Amino acid sequence: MHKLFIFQRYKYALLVCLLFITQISYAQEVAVIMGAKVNTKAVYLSAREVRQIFFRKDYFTAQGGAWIPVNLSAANPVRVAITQKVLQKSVTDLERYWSEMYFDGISPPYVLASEEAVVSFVAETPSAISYVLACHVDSRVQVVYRFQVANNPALSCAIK
Amino acid sequence: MVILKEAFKKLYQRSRRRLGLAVCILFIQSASLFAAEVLEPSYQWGRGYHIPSQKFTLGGYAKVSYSYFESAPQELALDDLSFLIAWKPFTHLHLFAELELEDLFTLEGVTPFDESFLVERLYADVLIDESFKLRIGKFLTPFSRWNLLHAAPLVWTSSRPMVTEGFVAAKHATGLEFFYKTSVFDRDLNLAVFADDSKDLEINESLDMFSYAFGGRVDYQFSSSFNIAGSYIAHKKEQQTSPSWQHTVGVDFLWKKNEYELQFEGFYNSIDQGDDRYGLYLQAVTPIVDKLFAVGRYEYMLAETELLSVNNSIEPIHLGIIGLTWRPKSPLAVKVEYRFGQNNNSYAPSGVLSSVALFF
Repeated sequence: MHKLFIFQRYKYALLVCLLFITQISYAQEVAVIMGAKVNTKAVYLSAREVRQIFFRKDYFTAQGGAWIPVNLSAANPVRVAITQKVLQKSVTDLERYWSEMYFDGISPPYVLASEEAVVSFVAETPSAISYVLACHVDSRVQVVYRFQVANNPALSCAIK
Repeated sequence: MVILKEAFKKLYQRSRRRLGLAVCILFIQSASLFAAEVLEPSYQWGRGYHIPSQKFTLGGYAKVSYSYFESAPQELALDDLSFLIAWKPFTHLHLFAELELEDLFTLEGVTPFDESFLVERLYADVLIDESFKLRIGKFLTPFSRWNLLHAAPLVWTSSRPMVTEGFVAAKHATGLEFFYKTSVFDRDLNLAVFADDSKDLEINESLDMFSYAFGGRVDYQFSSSFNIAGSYIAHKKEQQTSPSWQHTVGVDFLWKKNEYELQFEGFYNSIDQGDDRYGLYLQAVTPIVDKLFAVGRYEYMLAETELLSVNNSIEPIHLGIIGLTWRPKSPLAVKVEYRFGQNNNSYAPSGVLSSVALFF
């Protein structure tokens, strides 16, 4: 009877804790990557540095090469995630930004169709930088920045 | 100085073949640098044709406009047909050109090619390091926010504000421009200083161009939605009746959030032997329904009521603009506006202006 009372008393707290744990376990991680073989030195970037590279405001890697940022297609949920969390611009603002840059002769990052294509390209190309779900990272690439995004069924490790 | 300009022209004519050969070699060279990559050339509407292996982009924008002014005949014209050419042959060298056919087709007929063809911009950027960049050639004068982003698909109205029309500070400068970028409190701070010698270097002379000028602009991204800038120019225009040095300071800001925008520019112009002039505009943009925006602008300028004259008496000019802009897709803008004012007949006559502009 006493045990039942304790369960009754703490059941809501237990429920909240369970919900919290479930949320954490479903949170996905996105990794910003560079080639591991072509960039032998370990590189760590801040969110601001990643933002500047993908806005083509920073030009050069630490080795002196020109950054080659690579995007996934506009509708890809991993790209949507990095646009919101790291680039911190709406799709409309981003379109306008690239129109302004285009007027000055600056093109947006190249686009590849899949995360597998991104990993292969980044692995083989010095100074290339892109992003994939952390579960798609392999030994060909190194992670230079990572961030978490809330649970989203579209961000699936099953889709490469 | 005329001799210097003639020497430039002769040098250009003699070295055209050598220049062509050098461009071909650079093109092949830049391809080999990029051979490891697998990206295919592609065209995207509003972003141009891009060849990744050459780091080469060809695109542009066009504007067709129809205007009906109260005191002038109606006008229908292909106002702008501009080609943007960007090429990065080396990591530290970027080349850029904007070639324009201005008023190629109008109601009066077809304008001869040599009259409509303009080199709007032609420069080489030398990227010294992450923070410093040197620009050599013909570029947009870093004075007005509007002037730096004046492409028809980018701006909200068919007409330019009076204060950005080049009556005070010319739209273009030819010479050197030096850029410095850094961050202050984790926000972008950009500085540009320039020196102009259009009198000796500019081949297409125009009435409102500088003869000589120098100046600079600093802009700061105060927050994610607010950017503020200040500019200064000292210049001399020998085409004017009073060709003395003029000093102009300007301030501008842009606030934008959730598709609402507020933009302001103001200038104060001081002439050594003449009356001071000043002007401003304040423009507001608000979304109405999906992709359709209402635009309103108030302009004020204290200046000579006759264009490009310095000795006439100066009068206040007031201007109001109300309009609609529809942006169904990012590279496309359809605009219609009504302009009205006081003492505005010479600079910006009252009437209806409309246009369709797109990047291609």
